[in-house]
Amino acid sequence: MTSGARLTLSGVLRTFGGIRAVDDVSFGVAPGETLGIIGPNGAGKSVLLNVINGVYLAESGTITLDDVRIDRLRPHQITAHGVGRSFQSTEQFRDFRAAEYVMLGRMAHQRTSLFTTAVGWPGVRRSEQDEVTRAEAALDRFGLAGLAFSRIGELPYGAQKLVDIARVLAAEPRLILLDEPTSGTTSVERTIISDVLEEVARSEVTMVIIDHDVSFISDISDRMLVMNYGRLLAQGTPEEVLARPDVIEAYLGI
Amino acid sequence: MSSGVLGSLISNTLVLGSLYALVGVGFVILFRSTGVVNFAQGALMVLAAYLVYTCAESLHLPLWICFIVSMVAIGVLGGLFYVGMFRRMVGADLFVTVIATLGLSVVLQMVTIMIWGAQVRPMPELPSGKTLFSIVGIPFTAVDLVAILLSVVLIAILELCLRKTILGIATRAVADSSHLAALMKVRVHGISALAWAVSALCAAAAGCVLSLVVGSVDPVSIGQLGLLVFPVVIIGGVDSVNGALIGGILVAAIQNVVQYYLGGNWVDPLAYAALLVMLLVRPRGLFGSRAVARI
Amino acid sequence: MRERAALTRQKILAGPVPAKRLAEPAGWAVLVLAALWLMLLGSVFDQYIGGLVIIYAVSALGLDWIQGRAGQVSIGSAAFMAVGAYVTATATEWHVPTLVALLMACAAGAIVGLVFGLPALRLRHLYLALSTLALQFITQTVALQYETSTGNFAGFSVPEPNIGSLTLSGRSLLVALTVVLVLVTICLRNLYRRAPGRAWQAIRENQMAAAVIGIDVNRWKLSAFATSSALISLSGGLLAYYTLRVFDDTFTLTFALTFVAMVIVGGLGSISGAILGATLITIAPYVLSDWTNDLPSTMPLASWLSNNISYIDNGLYGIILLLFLLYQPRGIAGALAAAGQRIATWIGPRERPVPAASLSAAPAPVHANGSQAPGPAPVLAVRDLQLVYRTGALALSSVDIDVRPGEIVAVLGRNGAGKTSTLRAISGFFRADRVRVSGSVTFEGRQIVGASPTLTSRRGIVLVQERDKVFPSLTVNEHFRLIRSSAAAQAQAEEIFPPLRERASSPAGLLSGGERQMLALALAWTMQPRLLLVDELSLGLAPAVAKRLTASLRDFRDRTNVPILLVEQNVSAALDVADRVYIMEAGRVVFTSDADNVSRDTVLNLSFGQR
Repeated sequence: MTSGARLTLSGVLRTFGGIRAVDDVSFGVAPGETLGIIGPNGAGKSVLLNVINGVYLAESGTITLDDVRIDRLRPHQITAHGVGRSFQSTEQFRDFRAAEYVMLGRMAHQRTSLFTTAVGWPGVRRSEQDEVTRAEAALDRFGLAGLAFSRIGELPYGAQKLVDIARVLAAEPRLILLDEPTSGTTSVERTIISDVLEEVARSEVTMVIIDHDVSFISDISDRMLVMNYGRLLAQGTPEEVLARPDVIEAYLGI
Repeated sequence: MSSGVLGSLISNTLVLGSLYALVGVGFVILFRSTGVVNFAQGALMVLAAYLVYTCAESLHLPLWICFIVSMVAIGVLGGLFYVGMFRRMVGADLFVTVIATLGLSVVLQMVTIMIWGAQVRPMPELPSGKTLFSIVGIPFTAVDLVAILLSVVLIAILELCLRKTILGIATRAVADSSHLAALMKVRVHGISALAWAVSALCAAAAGCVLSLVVGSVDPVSIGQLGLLVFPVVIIGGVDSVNGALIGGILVAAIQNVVQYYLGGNWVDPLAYAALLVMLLVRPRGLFGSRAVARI
Repeated sequence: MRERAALTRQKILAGPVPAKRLAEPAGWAVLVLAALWLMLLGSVFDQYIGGLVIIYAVSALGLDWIQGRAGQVSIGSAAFMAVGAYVTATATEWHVPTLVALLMACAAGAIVGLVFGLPALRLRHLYLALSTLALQFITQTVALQYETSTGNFAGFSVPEPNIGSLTLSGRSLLVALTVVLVLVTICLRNLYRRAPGRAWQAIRENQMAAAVIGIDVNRWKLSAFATSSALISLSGGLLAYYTLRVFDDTFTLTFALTFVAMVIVGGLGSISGAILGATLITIAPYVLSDWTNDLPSTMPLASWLSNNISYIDNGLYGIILLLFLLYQPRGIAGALAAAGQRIATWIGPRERPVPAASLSAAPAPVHANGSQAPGPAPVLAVRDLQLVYRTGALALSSVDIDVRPGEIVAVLGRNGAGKTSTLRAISGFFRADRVRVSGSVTFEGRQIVGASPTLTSRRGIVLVQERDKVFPSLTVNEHFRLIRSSAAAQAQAEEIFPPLRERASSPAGLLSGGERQMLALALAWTMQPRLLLVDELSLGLAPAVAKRLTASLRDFRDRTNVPILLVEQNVSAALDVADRVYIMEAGRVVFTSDADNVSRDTVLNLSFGQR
């Protein structure tokens, strides 16, 4: 695996119709670190991820990835810089076969020429074979090699999520953004996913994870962030953060 | 440009513009309520004009009765289109409904030609239709005045209904969120059928009057005019009733100016070029909402 | 690790042969047979039609490229064919050799495609359709002007095509056209099966997600538009060489629409489908005419048909298009694929993926004292409710909830626990939501599981949603009118929530979050519910406002004795008003008790997990 990137956010602001979805958020993630983000519904966690990803433009503030400013870049450009992001739902790509979908992940790093592909240039055929082998290997890492040519829509939900994560990892990113990787999964599927993610977390890749399963996230994160009403409520190790009364109150209203 | 020519350009713009606006308003109502982009407006306009022709020439009914018969018949037809076809496509992709309305326009045109043939038929004349009135120095024929009056009255009635009646409020509710409307016990399918009927009625009214203004009806030309609803609503804003009004006048103005300087062939292409320019510069049109630009 | 192995050992197979792989050979077999028959046995007329079919098929393949693969609606087929035809005609006037002229046609198409694709980049479906509509009208006029200004009032005439010294006509031309079609097909297959095809498919499914994955959406959309336009222009050039004449009257909007019909009828996203669709749409009028002529004149419809046959022929493709849209939207290719799927399932035993639900080990719900006391029959009884979304996501697996008369029941739990899904399962889903619900939901003794929102609201179940609770463009007054509230009821609501009176003429879109929630609650009460469902009342509200609103909920119950099922993330607000509490976790109920018996630690544990 490649070495992880350093992510820094400074004063990031994003509003929607007058509501501050992300309100003056600043934090940093060290290379190789795993940062967990929790917070009640509507706290702005997904918006934050989308802002980092380039799906939404930050209205003010900066985001840098290893000294490169990415807050003004478009999503595919940010991905080309080594950022990978998983999706909350795999609804959109149901007709893709698992291996084809995983191969999509590497498109940002490839040069494809329509002409050579159309005429069936041997070099293109070889590199396509390489890609297929790579994709199968990526799936094999999660024990899904047998599903490589199944359509994603026909797989169990947990397998779909794993295929999505395989797609992210196949591109060998330096920063991984995970959006609720365990939502909608059964407890068995959740165990499999957290095993895989723990392995990734131990590697040198930098990870930022949003999830609602607080025990899962506190096990896997080196540090945690709590968001509420778009603002950063608390930062620190999982133990520190979860012991704080203001965090408990934000979450439970108690 | 002499003042006489300017005067007739202005009157032409007002007449055409108000008719375009009428079709545009019907289009916007349908689009906001059901999300359907109706490419078949032109075909409905043609059908309406032929109905008036048959009523007047074969049944010898007075013109205003023919108008009403035609408008009601086409309105009902619009409602039937929803019940018979588009009701099953609720929730489908936008492009499926676009293609469906395109196919519908082809079939309507075929039926029209089958019944009435392809030749140009003269429309009955309005009594004292050719006399010129001069208002503020601008020349209008009686037919022109009827056209403008009809459009203004119909649009005003529609606006009133939308604002004041429960049916209108329900229509606006469905336009905001059909799911929430269903939760509030609104009959969403009924409202959708009504939106189709109203939109068809507007097209019918415009088609009837247009054929009177032009003096004849044939399967092609009115239909082509019907497609001009797109520059109208794109320039005005696809989900804005006010936009349809302004868009109608603007497109008619552009067409008249182009006709004067470049001749008839360029009238349509330049209206569409204006559409393209608006798409480039401000996709949501002059008065459209932001959400529309992402369709 | 053991579980992972267990999952794969469940032998989740893809199915013996992916269905599409069965459809393709079948489609090709039909086409090859037809082509052979045509060449060897067909009459001159048949061969003429066959040549047209091939040319139209090339054009349809171009349209399928932009519409079926990249997902953009285009009605520009006629315009691009016109570009190709006129460029070819002009090139032949300069005595340019055939192949070069065709290349020029392609280049011209690509350039026009680029120019018209650029503005459509930022926009999607509808606007590309309109952009190509504009192109259609502009092209028709430009073509007419070109003809009149060069004195070719009856159009351009084109000499026969040639390769070197060999002039192509009749059968040799047909062979040449077939070669072109085969080459085009091979190139397209190469593109679709590799990275470009995947990129376009991703863009078609979800542009934003494709961009996030790393695909340069604009570049790929533009490349699709430019190259598919080049292909369509090529077919225009071929048409010029085939009919030996180029006239502006050919390239009308109706002509463009026939190609849309071809692609839909054949089936979007399938090469053989596009060719089959082109064949069907092109020969249908001729077949129909022949058949009509052969009808015995004594048949009732026969004379009507033969009188009107030419009109019907012109509109036939429209009828076919509508029929397919209504009954077989995936086209012929889709029908073949579905049939193939059924045959495949019938042939080979297929082990379906094990339903996710049975894989999990369920902890039994924990009951605290008090809730087991027998009481009046519940108004709402949910038993063993299971809900699976279309994606396969398991939202609920065996949920049991009771709501007794006059009770306020709160459902707590963190996000993703299934609380909102439970409410939705009770209030109903539209068919378009495509979920699978099973289990039992009885309301006032009648089964309502799987019912639609229209039915449940008629029975008196009122749901206040988390989002979309009011209509942004309707004023407060109009909301009350919409639900046919009496003036007295509205006045009573304004008593409870004074801001509603102050903002009576204000559109709901301008109200604050708290005011919207007040309006939503007031409307719900005015509808005289028999069961009130409230989803996340306190979301986004300041704690004081949330407390006020939940208190008003209790007042409503005290006044009317209507039972309330309340989903909440904010535990303290919920505990203030609830009589009984359920706690949900991962799609099932894990705890239930009277509200008084719920301790802070219980909630903490269940929210933050075992620590």
